[in-house]
Amino acid sequence: MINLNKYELQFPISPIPITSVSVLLTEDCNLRCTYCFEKHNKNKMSQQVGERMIDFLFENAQKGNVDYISLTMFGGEPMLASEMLEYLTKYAWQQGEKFNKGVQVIIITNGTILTDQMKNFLSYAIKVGKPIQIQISVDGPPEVHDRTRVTIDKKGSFHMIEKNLVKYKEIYGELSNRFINLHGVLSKDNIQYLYESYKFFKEETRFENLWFLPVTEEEWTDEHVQIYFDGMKKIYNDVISDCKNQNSLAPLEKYAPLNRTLTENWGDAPCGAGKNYATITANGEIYPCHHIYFNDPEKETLIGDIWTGVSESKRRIYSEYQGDDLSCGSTCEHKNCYRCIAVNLISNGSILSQTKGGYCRMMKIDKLFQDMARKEMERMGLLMGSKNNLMTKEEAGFDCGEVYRDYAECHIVDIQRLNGNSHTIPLEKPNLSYQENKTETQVRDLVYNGKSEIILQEWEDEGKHYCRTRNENGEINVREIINFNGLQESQKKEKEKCNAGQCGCSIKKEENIQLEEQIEILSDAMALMIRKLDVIQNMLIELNRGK
Amino acid sequence: MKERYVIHVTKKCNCNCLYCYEKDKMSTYTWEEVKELIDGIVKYNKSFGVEFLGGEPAMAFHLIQQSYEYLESMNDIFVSDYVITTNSTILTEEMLDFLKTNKKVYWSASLDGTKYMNQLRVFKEPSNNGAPQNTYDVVVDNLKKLLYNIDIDRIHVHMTTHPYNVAFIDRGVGHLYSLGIRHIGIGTVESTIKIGREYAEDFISQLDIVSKKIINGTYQNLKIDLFEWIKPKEDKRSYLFNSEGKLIGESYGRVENDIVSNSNYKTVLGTSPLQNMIYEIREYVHLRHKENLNEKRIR
Repeated sequence: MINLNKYELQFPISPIPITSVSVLLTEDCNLRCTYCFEKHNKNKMSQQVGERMIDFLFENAQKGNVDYISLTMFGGEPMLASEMLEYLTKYAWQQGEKFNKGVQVIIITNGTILTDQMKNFLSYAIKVGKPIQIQISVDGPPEVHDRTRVTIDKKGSFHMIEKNLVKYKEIYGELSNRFINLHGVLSKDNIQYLYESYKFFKEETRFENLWFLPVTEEEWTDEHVQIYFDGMKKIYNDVISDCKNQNSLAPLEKYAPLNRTLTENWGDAPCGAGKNYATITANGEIYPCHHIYFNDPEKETLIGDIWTGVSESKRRIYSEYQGDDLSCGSTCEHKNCYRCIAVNLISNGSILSQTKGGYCRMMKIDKLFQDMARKEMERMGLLMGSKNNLMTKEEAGFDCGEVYRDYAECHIVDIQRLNGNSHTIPLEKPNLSYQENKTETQVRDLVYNGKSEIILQEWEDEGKHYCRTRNENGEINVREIINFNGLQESQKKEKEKCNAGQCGCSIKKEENIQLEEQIEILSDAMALMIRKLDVIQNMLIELNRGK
Repeated sequence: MKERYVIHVTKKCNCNCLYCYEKDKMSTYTWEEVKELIDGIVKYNKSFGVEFLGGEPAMAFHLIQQSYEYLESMNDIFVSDYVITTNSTILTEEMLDFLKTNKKVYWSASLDGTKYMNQLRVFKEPSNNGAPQNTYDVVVDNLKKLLYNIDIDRIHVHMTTHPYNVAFIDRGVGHLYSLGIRHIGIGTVESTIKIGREYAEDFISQLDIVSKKIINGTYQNLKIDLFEWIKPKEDKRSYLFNSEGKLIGESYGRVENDIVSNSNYKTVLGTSPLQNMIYEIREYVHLRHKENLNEKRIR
């Protein structure tokens, strides 16, 4: 017999335990949403499987010294198994006391089913101080929602949800905005209604926690990206103005993806699938996540079951990979976007092969608005002393108009980058005056990213110079011209200032940035101290008066 | 034991496998360089096997053809077989014709089992969605073409195993078997991904399952390289560099008086930090298969 003990173990003896799961109570569903990747089997999790699953998770939590377990009640439509959902939640609470661990329960529902039994149970959970988190999938107002979220007979489902939204509000009362969120899925069919849907949720349904995330596997075109940008910009403006009116970060916190503004570190890998997170099927099998499970009829990604546990060898690629191992990982400034290893596996044959293209650009738009929001919050004094990687306009591929000026580079800057005919370019400011180039001999060109572009038009606006150019591929771009041949005296000075790192643009020298950040942190701290001193002084005055 | 010479024909490759050990991904070779190596080989040795390696050798297929024709034209030289070690993503009509005509040429495709197991083998150029694609689909298409056109015994698949697919070896073998492959080589990633005891345990237990399935007839007529034959421990892999420091060829150090000891090429002995462990587990698997066979005979 071979003795392998002389060889070193390579991986941790106690690998990260699975304590957070999505539970496929049933794969059955009463809807057939157009973008759904599920198979709708009519299976149901039994009491025996459910109990064992919960014990398995608590045992893992105990072994790994994790404080709580997390059950995301998923399906299919989990409300089709609402009695089991209630039973298992109560069982988890009971076992939680035994194991001295917490329990987090989240229900992901299409919102069409809310039985009296469930209403009573949700009220009961609130009464005993263990409110259940609810995520309802609604894509927008009725006409938008009904395009994608349809019943088996292909009929719209909004009318089925409408009355339930009211019921949820009744059940949760003041807790609604803490424990309920609405999740809209953006697909090609509805992305043009992003802002409209956002407004609808906020103003008509009056839910505050909102999410809109683009479907990752959709083939997003430049046009969709532009539409997403336009929608996000409007939402951004609303959210920021809410923050200003309320002098609070709360509005930002409540909208995903803008809420990522408030988190410095999103961890390394894009998600915990196969690490601390997994999916448990109705018959007790364990898969890295539901998205992978539903696309794996051969069961190749099965990593274990709730009776015998997880095969470390089989989940190794998930437990060991790091964010930087993804094909876009090490170079992208925005590597903490919503990347999805399941989509990578399904579309590209490897969890590490990152789909980029349109989706990636959408994620960069998110990052751009997150950066802007961060800056805005810092300016308002709601966030202080933070350091994060702000993206340049070039990286984002987009300009956001005035709000973004702070980040403008001091050379040539993309104002609007679009493929297509010049007449399709929606200019930020429609009333620009410009002069056409008159003859070929007068045509000037500029070099952008090492490639020459012909200037078609030039104009001025508020003292700034803009031009419309055509590159070798025939693409039309609008650019701001700051420093190339023919600079005016004042612009030359600006350029010198820029080179010396004194202009406030994002191409400042590294050491200047660091220095400025330190100064900023110190002055923030000073400001805070002064405010505190004021408070102390006032208290002393009050005390003296009291005497 | 007969010597095998490895002839490098290009260092360029259209893939970017995550465990690739190759540092030089640029060099190309002229016919003069290859011919000089061949002339050096035949000066001392008259009977041997040849392996074409890259980079991706299919990207310099003309050099393979030229080498083959040159060697076959020598009356006093016997080359037992020519193996093209390829990622199998490139297969032109011209290549297929060459393989159809020349029966001593073998195709050794790198494919790590199922598509899921092959996750670390990806193309260099990303596809339209910006992601490097798994090579599996293209390789399987090409294997199907080859299986249709040439003798099944001349098509080998080499599965590289590493800590992220070793637990699936049996599944991978079964899958390749179902595709019609009957010759499978099982390799181990040596320097670019760390391996340890867990890998060794999985390697042994998975190949024991495969061994039993061959014996019980599940995988009839399947040949797994290390069940049949184990590379001798005495093999001394020598790398031959020309005066410019460019890697030209390799030998296994099985004959004493040949190009390695006599030529102007600089010779470097290949070592791998894990070679003892890898040898030990391979030898164990090899012997275990023999035991399984004996047990069956006794019963």
